[in-house]
This record gives sequence, C-alpha cells and structure tokens, in this order.
Amino acid sequence: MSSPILRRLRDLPTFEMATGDPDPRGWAVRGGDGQAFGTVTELLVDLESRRVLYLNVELERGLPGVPAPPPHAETQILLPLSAVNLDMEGNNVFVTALRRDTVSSYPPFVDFILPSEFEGAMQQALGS
Amino acid sequence: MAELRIQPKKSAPSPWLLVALAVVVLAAAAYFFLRPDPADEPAPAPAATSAPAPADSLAPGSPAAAARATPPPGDSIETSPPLGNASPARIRLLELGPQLTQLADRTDLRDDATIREQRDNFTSATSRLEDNDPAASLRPGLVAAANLLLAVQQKGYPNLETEANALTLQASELSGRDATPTEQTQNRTYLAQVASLLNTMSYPAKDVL
Repeated sequence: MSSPILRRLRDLPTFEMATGDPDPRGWAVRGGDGQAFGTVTELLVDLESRRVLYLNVELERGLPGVPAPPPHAETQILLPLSAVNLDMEGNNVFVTALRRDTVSSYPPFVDFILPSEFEGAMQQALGS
Repeated sequence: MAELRIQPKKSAPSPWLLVALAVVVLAAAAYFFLRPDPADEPAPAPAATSAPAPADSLAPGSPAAAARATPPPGDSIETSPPLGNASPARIRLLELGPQLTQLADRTDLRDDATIREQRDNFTSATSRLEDNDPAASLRPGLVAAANLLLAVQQKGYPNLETEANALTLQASELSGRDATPTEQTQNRTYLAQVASLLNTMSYPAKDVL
C-alpha cells in the first residue's frame, strides 16, 4: 500500500470540513494529565480518501526538555488523528499518551518533511 | 478514535449575501417611496430678510450684461416634451421649463447656491410631468417655479420683490389640479404671471424699473 499524499487543508481552498465534523484548528491540545501543551494549527489531509490524518500542533514555549525554537519559529509536532480524542464541547484535543513533561521525547515536525521512518517514530513515542 | 472528513466546498451562496441583497433592495425601495417632494422644501427667505444686491453692482460690463443673451419667453420652444392629452396647465408649465432653467443658468445667476438648489427642485418636480405620469401633481412644479423666480429676484432683481413674493403666495394657494373651470382659471392666471415675471427677468436688472 503506497503512502498517502498529504496536503495542508489551507492549501485546498476548494475543500472544507465535512458537514457535521468539527474543525479543530485553534483547539488546545491536552495530555493525559489534562494540562495543555500546544495548539492545533493545521490539518494534514489525504485528498484521495478525503480524511484528516494528522493534526499539526504548535507546542507552547518553555515546555520541560523541549529546546527553544529558533527566532520567529515554533516547535511543531504531528499527532495522528487515530491517537487522539476530540472534546467537541470544550474544544480540546486529548492525547493520553503524552504530557507536558514527556512531549520532549516526541519527534518534532520540521519543514513539512515526512520521511518514511517518521511514522514509526511517532507510533513508538505514543507507545502503540 | 477520532475521525474527521473533508468535502468539496458547496457552491451555494452565503445566506448573509442574500440578507445583504434584501437590505439593498429594501433601502432602494424606501428611498424612492419616502424621499421628500422637492416642492415641499422651504422656499428661500423673503427678500426683506436677505441682503439685496446693490443696484450699482449690475452696471454695464457686469455679468448681468450676459442677460442680453437670454431670449425673452414666448419665443418658439425648441424642444417640446411629449405631452399627449395633458392638461393646459401642464402643457404651459412644461413650455416654461426650458426658459426657467435657461434663466437659472445665466452666467450672473448660476453660481448662486439658492438658485442652483431651486433650479434642481424645479427640474425634479417637472420630470414626472414630462414622463406623463398620471399620478403626478402639478403643484410641486408650480410651487418650484415660483421659488426659483423668487431666488432669482433675491439675487439680482431687488425691484421685483413685490411681484416675486406675490407669486410665491399665489403658488401656495393652488390646488395642483387642473380639472374644474375654477382650477383651470387659477392655473392659467398664475402661469401667465410666471411668464410675465420670467420675461421681465430676461432683461438685465439695470433695465428693470
């Protein structure tokens, strides 16, 4: 099975979230302890299946163990949608496998490059 | 496990766009139905309350000399509007229209704001008559003609104050209809006085005693 071609939703001006499905961009991302450690900034979608596969999350600054990003940049991670739960009433994304103090071990997402081993690294960090 | 799907955007117009269109249509309708009748606007103040033009300001060589270029009323009308079976008063008022606007456009008068405003009022009031609108009343046009002549008098013809004020008073007493013999007589008399005053004002003020 070939890897899906990922696109940012913002780069697809003729597409929008399906009717009835929430748009989690701007929602807080909270770990297993309920503490927020980032914000969803973008959605990566597979145009062929018309599904969101990853949430692009911008990490808060000053998280334990997370190196400071370069000037005018933010540290970002990708979260597989299959690994999160959506709180549609409170506009939160919960990822129980991570916390503020453990997110530093999660592979950062740099320059929109998704090498073949990146998926495995993410799954390993999520413990699945 | 969460699942989010995407879909092509629908091409249906935004409901806000429809709301905005409805508001625009309502605003346009309200404007056309509720705008004030030009003849209902206040007439210019009587000459006694404004500064009359000094007589020597109309000496030969002044802009008033351009009045010579204005033909007196009663000459042939170059462009007569389609009148159909209009009443005599309507026909006569429309005949006087070009002469009244020509007077208001005279070089020594056209820069006066009051004259310009009254000229616009007259044009607006008679435009419905020119369109043969059966619901259009004569009164706005009749009153606007008197107001225009009053404004011209205040600007350049201090000697005609009595006549202009009398014409304004007479206009205010007209019914705006031309159906009964009495109304026709009133309108005919009034329009004859308009033509007479218009004729007088076609000459420079220095020649008007």
